[in-house]
Amino acid sequence: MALAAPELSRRARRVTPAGLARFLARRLGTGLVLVVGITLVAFVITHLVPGNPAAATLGQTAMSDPTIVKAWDHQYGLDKPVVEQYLIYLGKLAEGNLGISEHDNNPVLSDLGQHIPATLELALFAIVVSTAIGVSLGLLAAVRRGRTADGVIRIASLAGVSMPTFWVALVLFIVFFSKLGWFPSGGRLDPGVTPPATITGMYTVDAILHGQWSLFVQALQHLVLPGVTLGIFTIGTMVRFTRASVLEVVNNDYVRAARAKGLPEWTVVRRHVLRPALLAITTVAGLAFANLLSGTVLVENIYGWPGIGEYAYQSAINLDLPAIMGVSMFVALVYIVINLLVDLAYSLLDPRIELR
Amino acid sequence: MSPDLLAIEELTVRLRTRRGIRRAVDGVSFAVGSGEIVGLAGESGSGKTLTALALLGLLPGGARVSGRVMFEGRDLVGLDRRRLRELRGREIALVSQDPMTALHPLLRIDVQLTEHVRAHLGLSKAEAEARAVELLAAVRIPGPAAALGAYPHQFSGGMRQRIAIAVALACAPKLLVADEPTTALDVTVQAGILRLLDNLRHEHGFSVLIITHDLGVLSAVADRLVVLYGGRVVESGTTGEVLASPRHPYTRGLMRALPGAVGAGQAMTPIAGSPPTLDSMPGGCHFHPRCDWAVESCFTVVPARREIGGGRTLACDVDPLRREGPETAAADRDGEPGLEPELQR
Repeated sequence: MALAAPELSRRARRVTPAGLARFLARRLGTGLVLVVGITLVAFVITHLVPGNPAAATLGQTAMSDPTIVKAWDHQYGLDKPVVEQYLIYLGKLAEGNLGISEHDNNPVLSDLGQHIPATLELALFAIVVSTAIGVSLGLLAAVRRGRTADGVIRIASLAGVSMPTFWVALVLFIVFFSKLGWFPSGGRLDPGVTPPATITGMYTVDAILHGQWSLFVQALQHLVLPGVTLGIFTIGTMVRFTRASVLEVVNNDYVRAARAKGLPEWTVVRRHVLRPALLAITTVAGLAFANLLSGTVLVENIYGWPGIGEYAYQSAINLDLPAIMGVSMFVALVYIVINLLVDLAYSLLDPRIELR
Repeated sequence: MSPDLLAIEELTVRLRTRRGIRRAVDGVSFAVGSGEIVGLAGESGSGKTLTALALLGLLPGGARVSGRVMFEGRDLVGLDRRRLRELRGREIALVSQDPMTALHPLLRIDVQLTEHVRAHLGLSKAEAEARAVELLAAVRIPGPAAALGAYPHQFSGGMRQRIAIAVALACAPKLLVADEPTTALDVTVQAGILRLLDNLRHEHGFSVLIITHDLGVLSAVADRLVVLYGGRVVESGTTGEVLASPRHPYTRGLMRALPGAVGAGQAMTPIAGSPPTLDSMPGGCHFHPRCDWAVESCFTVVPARREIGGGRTLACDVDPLRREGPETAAADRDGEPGLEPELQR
């Protein structure tokens, strides 16, 4: 019994710097293995796909000249055996070299650096908006379970997850650009406007950092339509998930205990219901964010958003192997990093979980 | 005894089921005096938990309450939500059944032990925490100051129930409602919790309403017993008298189902059948399908609850104990149930 007190105080400090370091080292190790595995899979698939990279890049006249084709293949190492190609790729990757794009002759790494901030900005906007709306509506539906608000929200969220992205994009485009003219049709800024000097590459953030407020407003306006189009599925998912996890939590004894304490209803909901519900929502939000980051192809294409989705699309139709590999690496890293962050968030939110 | 702290009069709780509106609590009346421990006994579905929730104003959405719940002269039925909320936790506190789930898993003990104190009594954070340390010491938690910074999962079940009791006592309530406070605990821990409750009520002078299916628990601490079946009070009286000479067939059945504690040396005999559900509540006396002594009138006539002297009440028109005398009543425990009463008629 006498030992209980000091032991408690030690255990109460859950996340120690040493524990965190050990956790990160372990995850870094597994992450590395995962990345290598993903390069292998991506490499094999891109090389198995029928199609001739030379044909996709060179013109018809050049293609009819075998020496040019051969020289081109040789330049990119495509005449070597696939295994050797892969080992060369891995070697270069270790040096941080993702190769040269066969399409625009730029290093893939700098291409990615150009396109990632645009997508990051779009995905962040989408996840923030859809989490805020999704969690609020989901909570409202759960609290008003079985009443009108619940029914309306449930039907709307079902619609949200059922509507195809291209259709949502078209409808929003017609309504808010063509008819109402509230928001611009596409691009990151109005044509001819100089973007803010690059710090993060995200125009809204850079504009704030430079104090260019009108530019910030304009960049934000450009974000709305693609951001909402991208986020509408996520809103639906978040509503449904929030509603379900809140309903699961409210039936717990500890919620009744909180009510029996005579706490104001809002305190009960905010502190005793929403917190455990958010725990489950964290996972969904993390996965949703990863999906948003890697699933922007359609939206970026429709709204002319020069992000990673658009880059992936161009690389794919040009059979630009190094670029496709680069995009695959990016997507893999997104999932690895976000899963890591979700696990960290979990350990911060739930005292019962220890970092391992 | 001082005037009753709590007087429940003809409390009825109607619930909507798939087949219509049913009375889950049907005209329940009993009182809890100042400093008294009253035990509300019954199987699941007897309406005991709903009775407790009704007096806390925590019934589920569709429930309709009638009757009166007089607490210090105020009727809690129909009291507006805000007043009721101010009363909850401050004047009437709840200790829930399962300490594993009654404490919030994600909140530190200090938060759970001070949030309502600060809301009700307007104490500062420091004052509330000082009080929390005292409370934890009062429920015999070792190292109370360190325990404040811990989370519920760091404690054992018995310790958690002590903390839950500390939470309930934090605002010095006049009435503690304990819903199956020991059911989820190891038998060895149960006695400690009951003794703690008993000591605390002497120290602090609050009353306790213990709700349980376990007569053994009640025999240890309760001053008076109220036995519920199918939403109605079937028998009540002081614990000693009810347990020494149970008059209602249901109470007797409960005692025979008890391991050793009361009828030492006898085999446990479960009550035949199972408690009725709301949609299958039999007419007349709710207990008649499981009763060895049931006569024809039991099928149709609801037995009135009447005084039988010594502050006891009984709702049974057959009253086998009075007809048979204590000796025969004891004898037929060994005989085949249902045969002897048949012969005697």
